[in-house]
Amino acid sequence: MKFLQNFLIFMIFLCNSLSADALPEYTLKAAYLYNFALLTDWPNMNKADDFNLCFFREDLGIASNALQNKVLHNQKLKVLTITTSEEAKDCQMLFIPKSEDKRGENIIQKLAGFPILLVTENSTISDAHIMIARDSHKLAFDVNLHTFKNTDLNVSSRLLKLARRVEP
Amino acid sequence: MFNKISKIKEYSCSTLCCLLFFSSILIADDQTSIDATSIEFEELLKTEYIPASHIANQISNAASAVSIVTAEDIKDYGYRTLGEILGSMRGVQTFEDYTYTYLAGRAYSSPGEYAGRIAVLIDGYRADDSMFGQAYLGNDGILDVSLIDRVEYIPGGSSAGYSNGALLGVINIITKKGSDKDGLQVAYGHGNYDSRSRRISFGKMFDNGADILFSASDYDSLGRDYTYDVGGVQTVQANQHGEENKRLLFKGSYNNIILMAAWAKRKIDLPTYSYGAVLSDIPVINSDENGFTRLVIDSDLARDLKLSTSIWYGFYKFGFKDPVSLSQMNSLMDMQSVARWYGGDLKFVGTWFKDHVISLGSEYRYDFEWKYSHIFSDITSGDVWSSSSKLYTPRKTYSIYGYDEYYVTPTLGLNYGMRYETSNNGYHALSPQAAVIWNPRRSTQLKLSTGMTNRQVTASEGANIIPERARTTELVIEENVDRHTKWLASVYRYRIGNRISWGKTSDVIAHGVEVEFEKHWENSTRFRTSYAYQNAYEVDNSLPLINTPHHIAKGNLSVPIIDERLRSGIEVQYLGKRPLYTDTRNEFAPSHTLTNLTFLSHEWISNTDLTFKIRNVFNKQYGDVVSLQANGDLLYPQNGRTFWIELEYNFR
Repeated sequence: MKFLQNFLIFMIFLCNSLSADALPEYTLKAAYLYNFALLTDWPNMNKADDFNLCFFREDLGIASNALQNKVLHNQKLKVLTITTSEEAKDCQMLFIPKSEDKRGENIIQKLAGFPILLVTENSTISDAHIMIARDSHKLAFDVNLHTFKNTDLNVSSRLLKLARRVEP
Repeated sequence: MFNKISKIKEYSCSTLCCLLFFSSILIADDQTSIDATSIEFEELLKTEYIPASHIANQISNAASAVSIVTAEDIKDYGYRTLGEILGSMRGVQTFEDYTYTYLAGRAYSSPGEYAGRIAVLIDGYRADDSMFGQAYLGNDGILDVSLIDRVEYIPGGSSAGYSNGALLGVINIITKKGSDKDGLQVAYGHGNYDSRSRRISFGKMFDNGADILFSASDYDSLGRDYTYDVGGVQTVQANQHGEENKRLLFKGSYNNIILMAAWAKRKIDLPTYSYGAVLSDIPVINSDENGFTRLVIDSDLARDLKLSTSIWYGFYKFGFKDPVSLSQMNSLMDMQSVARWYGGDLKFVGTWFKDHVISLGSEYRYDFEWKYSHIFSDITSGDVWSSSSKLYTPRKTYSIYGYDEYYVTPTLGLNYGMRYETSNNGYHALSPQAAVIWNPRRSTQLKLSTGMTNRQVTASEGANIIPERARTTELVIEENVDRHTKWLASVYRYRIGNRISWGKTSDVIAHGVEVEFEKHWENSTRFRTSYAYQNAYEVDNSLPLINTPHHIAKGNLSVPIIDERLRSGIEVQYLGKRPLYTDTRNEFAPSHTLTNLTFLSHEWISNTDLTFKIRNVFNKQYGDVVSLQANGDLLYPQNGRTFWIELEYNFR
């Protein structure tokens, strides 16, 4: 028991030495989503409404809460969790986490053509705008220009420049 | 005095679990998140991330309290066998008799009865053999655990949808893909008793989408020494428990086609004293060989109709050789068994009707060879004293099944269906099941299920055509507080009738309660704890079931010490006292708590992972309950503290 107690104290101590140059994955992802929204233009959006950033079934916990009520494109950012394609139609942006990609694929099919920025974590879902990928300890993203064209969303050249891959 | 000590020991487990829990909260209960939106996007792209781990979602749609162990857990807790993986799950107990690892789930754990009452599926292939009905969970297991992506244990009666004869549940193993390995990997491990393991794996996904995975591995060990009481004198039998295995796996997929083949052979020397032999230096040799190959083709027939077809071939070979003389009979013995089978299945999944997912399928299995033979020969002249061989009648089994997942409303679902199976020996059985799944709130799920499952005999169990039958009922409540926090509670009851057993044949009634709590923190700390209360007894005489403890408690904590470069995993497992194999059941194996500790260095040295594991940290002396042995042993002492170190290098 004594050994175990000492061990736990040792671990608690060492945990505090957590490296400072790395960020928790969800914190980083939440910031990515914010930047995707910032660097995309919705030409037909009613700027009087809130900007709805939606998560399909699962959000990023406290990391997504940190985005709540931020101001984006002069709109108030609202973080929502949705489960159906009907609910998704009120979203400007929808994030489908990897754990939900099977169900997410169905919902993406139903949202084809809607001006909703679709972000996934699965490269096999072809109809999303942006795909976030783990790339040697960092997070990279790929952009699908074809989907942008089909949904009347304008992507900024800065976002394209930062993308790991741009599919025409 | 003794009672007091055992009470203290009993409480030490719960104290330990509490300690684990609170220390993990101390470590990680940080409810504020850094806002990184003020950092320039260019900077963010250069920032390394601390991988998040959220609670794994259940892949299967089973309405029971499913347990999941992921590849991440396997790595962080240094699991080396399927038995160790399963042993970390809620309410599951594994035990060993020096030859095989056995599995007890939901209070059913008769020693000597093989694990096949819980079916083992590898990517959908039924992996337990049809000769003895054993699922190989130790070093005899067909898969190297580094190839496993996740293991789901689906207990209870909603398992019939997965396989014939899944009487008390299903262990669903999903293997990795080549892209998960992404390159060449070599590994070398070393541990006590001069144990060594070596592995080479290669995996890759090509630009055209083809994915291949290949792995070859082996293991050998001198094994521990054994001490026996011989006429009042403690006598050591050394070099009696050597073990070696070899494993191969290939998996390839292209578009909608998957081909998988696996093979494993394990030889183990058995200490002979318990077989009534003299304290000879040369042990008997037990060998198990398993192999299979399976081809799966998935196709979309229409927008609302999918078809999955597969064909497979599998075999199992058993050998038991006494090269000196067992039981002082002056004879050599060579025993062998062979089982071979092939089959195919066809499964349609249709979404023709709104709110329904309908699965219809059929399966055919042909156990075309079951053979047993033995030869006794004279120890000096080599003359054959007696030889015998037996060919069992081959068996063809057909089954059809249909299941419907019906979403009555977005918050209320019904799962119902049945499987019917019949064999050409006259056996037939119907396994119906039904479940109601209700989400009163988004985060809460209630699942009430009931079902009847059947198991037909294996070749070694005789020609009985009446199936062993279990009727199960279970209520599960799951509360997903958020993506990182989950509570689960389950209450179940089942009755097993027409028991097929070499020993006890009375019907069994079991009921139990299980609770589990799991939490993951943003800094990638993971914590899981569970407690199971169970009570199982034989209906004929109200005696408690052999080897079934009332209490099982577990705690797992995985903590990053220096970001992801160094992690530690601590695992505490408590098993309550359980009746020994006696007619009166008034003798018990004492309760025990085992603690395992693993350190994993991940990419500290470039491309290298290093694992150091201490099993049974406090060197706890404990034993596993075994079936009746020739020398009267009822409890087999198990290993004390052991160490294992493993180095894995990735060529990138």
